[in-house]
Amino acid sequence: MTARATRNGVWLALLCALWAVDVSAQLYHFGKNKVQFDEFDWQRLETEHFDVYFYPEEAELASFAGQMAEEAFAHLEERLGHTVRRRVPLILYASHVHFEQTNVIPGLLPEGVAGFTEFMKGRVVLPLSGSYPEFQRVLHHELVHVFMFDRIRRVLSDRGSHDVWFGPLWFSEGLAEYLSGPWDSYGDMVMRDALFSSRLASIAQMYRIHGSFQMYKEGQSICEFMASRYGSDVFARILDNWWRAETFPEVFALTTGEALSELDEAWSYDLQKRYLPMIGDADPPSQMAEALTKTGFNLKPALIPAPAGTPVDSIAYLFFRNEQGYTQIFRGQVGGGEATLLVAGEREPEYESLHPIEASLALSPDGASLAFIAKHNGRDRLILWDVVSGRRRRRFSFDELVALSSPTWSPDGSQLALAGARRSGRSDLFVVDVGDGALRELTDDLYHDRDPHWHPSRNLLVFSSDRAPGHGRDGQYNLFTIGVGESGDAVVRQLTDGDHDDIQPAWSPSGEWLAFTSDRERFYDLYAVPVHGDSVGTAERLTHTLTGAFDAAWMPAADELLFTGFEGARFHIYRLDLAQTGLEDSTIAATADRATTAIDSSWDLASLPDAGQVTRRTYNKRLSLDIAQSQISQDPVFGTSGGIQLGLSDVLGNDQYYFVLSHISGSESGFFDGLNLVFGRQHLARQLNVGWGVFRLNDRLSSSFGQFVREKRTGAWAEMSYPFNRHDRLETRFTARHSDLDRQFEGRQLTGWLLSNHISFTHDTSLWISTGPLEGTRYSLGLGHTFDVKSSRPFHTTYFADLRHYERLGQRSSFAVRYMGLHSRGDVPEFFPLGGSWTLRGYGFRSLWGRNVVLANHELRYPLLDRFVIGFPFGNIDLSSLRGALFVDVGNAWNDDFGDWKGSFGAGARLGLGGVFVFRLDASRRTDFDMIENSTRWDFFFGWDY
Amino acid sequence: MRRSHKSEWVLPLLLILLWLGCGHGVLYLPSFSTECGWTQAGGDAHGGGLLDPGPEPPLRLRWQQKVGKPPLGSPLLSGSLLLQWSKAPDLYGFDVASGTRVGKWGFDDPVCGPPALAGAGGRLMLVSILEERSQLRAIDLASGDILWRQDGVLCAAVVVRNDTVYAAMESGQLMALAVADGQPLWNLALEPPLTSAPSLAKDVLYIADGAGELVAAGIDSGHVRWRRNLGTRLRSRPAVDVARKQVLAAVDGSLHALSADTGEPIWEADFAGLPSIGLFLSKKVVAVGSTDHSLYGFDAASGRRMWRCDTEGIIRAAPVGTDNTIYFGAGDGWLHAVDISDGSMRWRQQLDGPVLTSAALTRRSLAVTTELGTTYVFSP
Repeated sequence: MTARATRNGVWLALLCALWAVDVSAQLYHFGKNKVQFDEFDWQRLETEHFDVYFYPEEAELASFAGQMAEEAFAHLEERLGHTVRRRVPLILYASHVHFEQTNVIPGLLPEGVAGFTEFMKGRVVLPLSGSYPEFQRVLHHELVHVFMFDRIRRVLSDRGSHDVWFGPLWFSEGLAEYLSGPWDSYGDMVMRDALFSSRLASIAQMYRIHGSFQMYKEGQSICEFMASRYGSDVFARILDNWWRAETFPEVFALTTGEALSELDEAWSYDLQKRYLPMIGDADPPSQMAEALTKTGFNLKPALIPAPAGTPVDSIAYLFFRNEQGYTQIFRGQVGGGEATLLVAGEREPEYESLHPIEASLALSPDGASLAFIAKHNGRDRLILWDVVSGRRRRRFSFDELVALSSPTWSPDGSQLALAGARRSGRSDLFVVDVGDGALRELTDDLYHDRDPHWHPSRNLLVFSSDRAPGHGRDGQYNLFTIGVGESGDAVVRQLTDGDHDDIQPAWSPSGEWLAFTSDRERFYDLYAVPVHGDSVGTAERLTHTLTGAFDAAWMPAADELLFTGFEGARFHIYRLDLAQTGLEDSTIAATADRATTAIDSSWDLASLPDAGQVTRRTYNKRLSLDIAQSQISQDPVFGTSGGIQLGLSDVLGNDQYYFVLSHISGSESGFFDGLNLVFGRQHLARQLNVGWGVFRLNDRLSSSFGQFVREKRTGAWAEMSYPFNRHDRLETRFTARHSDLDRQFEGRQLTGWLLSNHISFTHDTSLWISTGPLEGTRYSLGLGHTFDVKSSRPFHTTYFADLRHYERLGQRSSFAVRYMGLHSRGDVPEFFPLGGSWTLRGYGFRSLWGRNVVLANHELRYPLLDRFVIGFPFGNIDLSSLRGALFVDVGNAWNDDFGDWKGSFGAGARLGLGGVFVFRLDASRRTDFDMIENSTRWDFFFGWDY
Repeated sequence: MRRSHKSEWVLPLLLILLWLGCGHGVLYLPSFSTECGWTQAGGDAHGGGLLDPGPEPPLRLRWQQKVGKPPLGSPLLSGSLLLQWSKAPDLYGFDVASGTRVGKWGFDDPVCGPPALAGAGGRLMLVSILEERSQLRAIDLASGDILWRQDGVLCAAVVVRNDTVYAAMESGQLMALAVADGQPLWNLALEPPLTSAPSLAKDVLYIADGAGELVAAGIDSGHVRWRRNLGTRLRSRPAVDVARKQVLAAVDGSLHALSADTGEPIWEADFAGLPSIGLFLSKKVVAVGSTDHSLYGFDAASGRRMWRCDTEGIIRAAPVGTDNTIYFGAGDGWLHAVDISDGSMRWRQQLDGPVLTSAALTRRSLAVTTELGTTYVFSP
């Protein structure tokens, strides 16, 4: 992935905040928190081309990353015929939960992001997922972006162009995929599924799958095809020609001599020629098994043990379902019927993420307890859930383990085994005593051990690992067993071997068979292999899917399997009758005739030499520029003003400084009078975020109320923000300033030293779509107090409360309410505006004002068009989504006399233009609740829904 | 008083405007003559980059000068002048002996391929303009007048021999134009796009077309003598071994020698990476640079790999040299000189940035420009 986010938004918010005439007007802002739950002792390792930033626990990873980065650098130099002259910052995290705390970019990082390249400073940031080969591939992928964008910048800059453009996302991500590793079975799976479900997006239609995994794989497939059609140097030539045109199709055409549409047709034909014949031997899951789920994305079925004699159709199973943006745990019945919710999951702050891809569900032998993994406050926890009562029974967290996955119960229910990631990033197997929570390690090495499953009658785990000699280093997983007893029998024995992935093993109820998923035939299918003691037989293929089959779970009689099938870009739970597969016949014939071998270790990490070209240094905060801009403006009332803004931060983004200097000429009292100066700092490396700064401001503006206001302020502020978790935070700010205030609208001029304290509590669990929140709750409560030091009089005290709730009515519809109240009192109260598209519609923007405000909004939000694409001869303009709104607003702003309620109602449309740009158009009619005005009033604005 | 103060600015302002105007006006060059037909694609019209005799290492730096932007093609050494185009695009002229800047010519339109000198005494500069109506222009260096134009997109170097210009248009047209007036002498339609310069033997011209074919055409009429598909698109400019009557061309990872008369394969040799934009060809050795940081030397007769010289950077520039030494710049910021017999490093000089365009040779000088826009001139 690439991140094009810049800090401009952050700086803009800060500057707006400082420039606000009334300090409390910016007392709260919504948004979820990026919380630094861990503090890192950063160090730096220098290689020839890279500065590798790491913390001591991941020193092994840093050395490996340095070596792999240099290898990738040489490879990309060779493939793209380009060299990057600047040193590339490489910032490493040992796990994804650490990675999510990075301040390199301000936004929240979803779990699906395996790494990113940031463009302002060219930083590459990535975590270890547990697998070193996979880490190497992601690193290579990100370095393709570094090379590609460096080349583009250089080519354009050389030709005197500073209007940098990067081309379509499918090309940059596809090229990164293509150059970072060979085509794999996941790629085949996605492409076959897209083709057979008529969902393949042509190049011209790539906007349909923009940013999705399918887009990555289609992009990779197109780049592979381009290399075969035009030569492997076609990418170097395209980048060299970047300056010669302004669109990618033009650059492509002048490089290859063909139109992009010709490539599109040829690539599509090639795919069909390769993939269509496969339907003769394979079927989609829905054609070979019974689908038990119909909606959402459903994964990881786990059968609830049932008493003997229970009718098969009455047997229940649990599974993950992702629907409407959240993953939750549901209960279904093998016989069919509606699934019911068991664990609300990610809707609860306690369970921020259930890791449905990496983790799995495990039922205790008595069927009473469900074990699953949930992330909370930057750490994974093992949760034991009472299936009968629907309540949590226990939870375990382990200081030495950052991430957990795949719990599995011992036969007697007294222990659980799981895979866990240490602070170093190594992923190993552990056993947890359910009684006292004691943790015991089974493996401690650099291999990625995953998917453990406990034998139904022995102290034996089967698991998947990349520890196989030969192909493990290439990122291939095979199956292994390990003894779990405490008598030192933790010998690792290799069950399967080959240059393919064998993953997600599951013992049959008798413990004589293992079902697992493998891509040994280039399709992810279910296989079963007999295992007797330390001997293993030949794997039998159970499914022949066109797409993929995963997560095998045996039914009690071992005559059926539940599994997760991939079809139509969705995952569903399927029920497979093994009688169709011939496994029952092969059970008779199958013998476990090959003795497994014990292995110790197989491959080592390449690492950098200790001396010579590698230097290890402590981390020094060297600041570099995030933003620098200047502007000059002319105003008929206030004259000419000009200024500069600078934003600086360290490479980790933990320390941020900003500096603003501007001047308004034409001041009647000399140069200094027109000078505006702000210097501030924010420190974000710890959970408690701290900021301070000084300012000297001369604000002169027409107030919200149509009259002139001026405040000359000189002072300093200090602020703290403490996020308790992703959703809740407490913020406070202290300001001391000398104020020279001229409020013409009141006819008052005031001078003196003012001290202000503000405190607020903010909660935000909202789930967003492109036009604004769709589900969840947001509120902020607080107060601010300002008093005059000289006279010791209370200047003003302000109270505020803002509650917003979004009730989901369907997949993309919701009912939104907002209730807001503001009140200011004191000798010099604050005044609050009301009216306009964001507050009280039907009334002019900030046309109402007073020291008291109440406001209630009610709005029905619903989709009109999912995608609005306008076709032009030069290409399509994708206007994202068009949504509708029906609303009723009620409110008032007043000083002493409340007057009448003011209301309006109407309808509106929202057009997502990308990012912050949402075009809002509302038609409303006013009402005083006795009569309705005859004329329709129109409000339009750019911005998200409240 | 105030008024008189303001008037004091007028004279300096006029002087500044005058200076700016001169800086971007016509570059007045003294009379000079081209030397040995060196092309901007690196090397001579044969595409082999050999000059014998030429400078031998160790060389010493005579001077260095900034040209601001990365170079557009290699330096042109002409008599007492060194001309270097930058991607700005600006044309700089320096005195070869002293490094004194003779002039600078700012160009308003984007220039695609490396310009070339033509005409008696090198009085014409051939410049390919890339705009809505792209064209090759012949500009009189003495007056700045455009003498003739030929429409078409041209981003490969042109090759000039005597009174004829050979230009490979991206549209697939290989054209022979009269230097004097730009009139087309013949026109050969090939598979587009044409992206590398042609090479000339005595009466045959060799060029790679967009379909991956090496085409041999008669120099007088443009009649195709033979075509040979090498399986993938040719990346480097072909080189002609006149003595052995063979033409050499590099594709991704392999070097091919074909009969110059028939196109029949003679030998094929492998190397790693993408080849440099041109080859070096001496009596015994053919050398190709690679993006895998190495220069590979092959026996010109058999194709046997003789040696490999490793550097720390990619080699995109066509190597040039004498019968004893091969010179090439690399992405590692060094100018390398290797022994032609065994590939051993004879001499090298660190420059201020990567070198991705070829060096230019005269009998006593070597000139090269880095991607940071610094031109260096060395001599023994």
